[in-house]
Amino acid sequence: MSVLLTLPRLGETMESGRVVGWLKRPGETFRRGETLVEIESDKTVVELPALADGRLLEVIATEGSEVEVGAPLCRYEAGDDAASTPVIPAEPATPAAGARQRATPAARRLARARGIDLAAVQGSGRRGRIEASDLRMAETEALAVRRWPLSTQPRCHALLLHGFGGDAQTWAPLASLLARQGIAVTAPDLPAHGATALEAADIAGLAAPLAALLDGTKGELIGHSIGGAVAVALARAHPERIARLTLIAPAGLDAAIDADFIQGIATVRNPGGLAHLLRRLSVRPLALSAAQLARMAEAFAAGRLHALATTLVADGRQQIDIVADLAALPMAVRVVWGLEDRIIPWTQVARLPSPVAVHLIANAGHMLHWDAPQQVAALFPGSTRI
Amino acid sequence: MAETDITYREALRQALYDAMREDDSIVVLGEEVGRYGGAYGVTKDLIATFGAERLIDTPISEPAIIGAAVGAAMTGLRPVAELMYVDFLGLAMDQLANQAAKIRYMFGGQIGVPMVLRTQGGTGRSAGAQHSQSLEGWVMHIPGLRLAMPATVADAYHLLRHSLTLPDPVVFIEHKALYARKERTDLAARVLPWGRAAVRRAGNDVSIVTYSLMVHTALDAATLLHEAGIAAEVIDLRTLNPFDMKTVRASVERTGRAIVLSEAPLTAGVAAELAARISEECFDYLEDPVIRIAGEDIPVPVSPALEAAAIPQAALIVQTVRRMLRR
Amino acid sequence: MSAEANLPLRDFYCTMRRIRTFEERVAELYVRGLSAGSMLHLSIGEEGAAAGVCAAMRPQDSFTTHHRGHGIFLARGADPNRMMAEIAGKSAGYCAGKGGSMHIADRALGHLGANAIVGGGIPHVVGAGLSYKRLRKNAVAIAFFGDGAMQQGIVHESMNMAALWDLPVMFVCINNQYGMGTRIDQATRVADFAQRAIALGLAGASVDGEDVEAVFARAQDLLDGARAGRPALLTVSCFRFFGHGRMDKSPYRSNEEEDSGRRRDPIAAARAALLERTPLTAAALDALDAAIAREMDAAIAFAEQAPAPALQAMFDDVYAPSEPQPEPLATRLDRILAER
Repeated sequence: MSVLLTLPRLGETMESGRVVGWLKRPGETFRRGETLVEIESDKTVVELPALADGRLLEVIATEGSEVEVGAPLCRYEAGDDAASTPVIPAEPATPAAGARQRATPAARRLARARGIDLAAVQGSGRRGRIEASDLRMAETEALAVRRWPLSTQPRCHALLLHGFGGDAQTWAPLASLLARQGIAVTAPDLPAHGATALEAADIAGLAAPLAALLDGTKGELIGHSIGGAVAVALARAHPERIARLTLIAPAGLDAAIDADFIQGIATVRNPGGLAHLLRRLSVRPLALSAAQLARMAEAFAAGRLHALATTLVADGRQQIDIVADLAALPMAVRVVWGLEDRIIPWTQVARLPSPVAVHLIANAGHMLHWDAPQQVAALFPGSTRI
Repeated sequence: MAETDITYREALRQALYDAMREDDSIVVLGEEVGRYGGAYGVTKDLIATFGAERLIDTPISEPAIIGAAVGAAMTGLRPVAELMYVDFLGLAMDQLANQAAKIRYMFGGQIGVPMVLRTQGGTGRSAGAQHSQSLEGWVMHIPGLRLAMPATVADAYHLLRHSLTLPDPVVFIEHKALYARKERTDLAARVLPWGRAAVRRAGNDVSIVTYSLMVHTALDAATLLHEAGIAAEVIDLRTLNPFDMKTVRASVERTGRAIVLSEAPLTAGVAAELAARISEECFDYLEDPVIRIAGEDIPVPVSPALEAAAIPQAALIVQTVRRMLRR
Repeated sequence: MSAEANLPLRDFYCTMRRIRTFEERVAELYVRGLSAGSMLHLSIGEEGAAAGVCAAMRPQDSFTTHHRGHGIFLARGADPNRMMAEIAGKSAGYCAGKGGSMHIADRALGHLGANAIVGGGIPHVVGAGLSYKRLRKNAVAIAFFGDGAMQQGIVHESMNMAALWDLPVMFVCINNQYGMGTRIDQATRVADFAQRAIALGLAGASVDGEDVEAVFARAQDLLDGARAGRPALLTVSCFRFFGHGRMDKSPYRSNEEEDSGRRRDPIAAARAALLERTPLTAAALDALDAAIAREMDAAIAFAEQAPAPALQAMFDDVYAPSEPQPEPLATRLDRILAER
């Protein structure tokens, strides 16, 4: 008996899904419960299992295609007969070991630049060829992303971009406050940082995989330090998807910076040296255990930040400039700075274009969201609709 | 000067007229260029203005026509030799390839050969296998020869005028199917400099790199593709030596896909050279192999139906682009 | 006859001796491995044609030659040092070492180029004649070529055009009896080329190349006519003493034929006439020969010592310096394979 499998609604808000990949090929048999296909929706990937034994006859929704809920995915033959009929596949289901991945030159270049392993990427091009667009998808997938759970329906979304040498976890004090205010917080480890397997040597490389994290509804974008410059780049590229931009002690306004800090983080080898550097970030005592410091020092010693450090700071000066881009942004922009910042002096607010609002916070260093999380969170009051 | 309707043929004639008025050293020689006015009428009535001493009717002696032009160019004249059909290059190739192209080099830069070889090629008039070829590849393969192949009325005028100022031999290949083409043109308006390609239509989905008559075929295809929501960029190379890789590179790096379009037979032709260069220089940006769409590898047949089928048509370009983009 | 009246013959002798000695030194250059390539074609035995015709030319006249043209260029006044350097592929040569033996040229002396394609340079004098006529220069363009070229179509096309347009052009066929290894009677039914001149409407004459004075006289007559718009074909018959090129030992002809051919020696004939008709002594002529030998030895030394061209020069002169230049392969590869 030939049966049409349609796309079920896999979540409340789901209207359509994207076929990520077929785990069975036409002609192959499957047992009830085996995964037939992976469907992506709302940034989550769901495995769709077989509801009965059977044999796949025809794939209707090919890999990469967008399918409406209720639209056909495949046709299969159900029943024991199908499962017991031996079928010889027309070609091997997976490429022979050692076979070279089929990918366009453009995709290979992107993979090299971003440090993506092509073997982990699903190609959507002709003959399964990996194209540049697949890489952009894979980039998003390669991002390590942390989300803070909400107890209620989200009032709005916020995307948080950390600074040089940081990771998503550094947002924890602020993020949990925002979550309590009903904001759905998403924070990635930026490329070249933390658990994200992508590399980057400049602001464009840091920003490249982030677009997919912007929610469909307009939301808050918050960037700290270098993450501020990344946020500006992202806002320039996708102004229609960002309601408001908040920059915390952003890089790229003027030349001055604690260049020793940047170079130090990029080259540090031991926990002692690292602790010494990190003390410059905050007005508070360093709240990291010896084990945490050792783990961080080991990660920095891998040298992933070298190229980035060279691009950002040279001859003791910042090498990036966000002022022109900032002036061209259509959405509301504001800047928050701690008056005790030892990495980038708060006086650089003088370079801001006039429509940008400035909030200065006393008794706070470069890591404002450590030193004054409540005051920062107060900039996102629950009653405000944006 | 205002824009007027002017044909490709009239623009060429005007270029000769204006250049000869300015430069006494220019003479035109070839079969039927004087009293007859040129087999395709390009030199019509010029003899009335410039006389038989400057519009020199020659016997049917293609090697000696080109050879005499070479000698005249070496000794103070700026000759325009007309080869009635590019197919006759087979007769005159020694004088073009072994003599004109190499004299400056062999003689250590002492003597230049500032001549223009005007000729026409291509299909479109059922002229048969010996009068319809596209032999630009022969010329492009010889170092020392400049090569222009105008597609538009303005270029017919300006590229010919520029050819008549160059210090080295220029082969100027017109297209027989373009002579009657009429465009609203202001010949006094500036055009791109010699050696620069023109983006005739901008688009971000695929780059179509071509020259001469095929520019118009590509533009027809781009219009049809536009209706299907596909934006094709059409690049008219205008000159094949020198040729403007910079413009091609910028386009292909943006679109990630390139089609090289040529009327000449596919194998070992201009399209092959362009495709190779794009593959080498734009490799990192390609999303598909560089595709050549060119004439069939056959002599050009006389039957109009067969002749048309032997060279690329807009429908094939549309179909190919849609297959490349899978939409 | 007075000694003064015979001075031209002394000059002819001198020119011919310089050609022969030069060619002998070129052969040595090759044997010593100093010549650029092995394409060397010697004109020994043909000196009468070169010396006689060139003496009749005027400074404003121009000419092209075939591949066996060293003698003609020397007779026109070329510097043997620069010629030898060119044959050796050195930058001090006439063409910066890029032309060599078969592609030598010199604008200053009106040499529009030797040519390695049989018949290749012949139509160029038609074009030059067009220029001179249109620019009202009182100059004649002369094409020198061998009997082999007489069987090329381009010769007939060119002669036809020159005659049709009354151009100041002279065609000089140096008939050394052989097109490479093919004797003239194996190449054509009409070896009397003056007949072809008549057929095409040119003034035609044939002269024995052993008699340099006769060559000069006929050339002068025909050049006067050409200057007035009556183009001509002059055939100078002679014998090519050696093979086609340096490696050619002439297996296609008998020793007897070579012996009798080499007795048609324009230099020996001129020397005998000088001794008979002038007060010049054998000792005086020997001294002249010795001076010429020293001059040509010096040319060899000059060529040997001249520096090789800079490699970068290979890209020069493909096009005029003001124009876009060829991209060297190394530059292109660097561009394509650049790390960034």
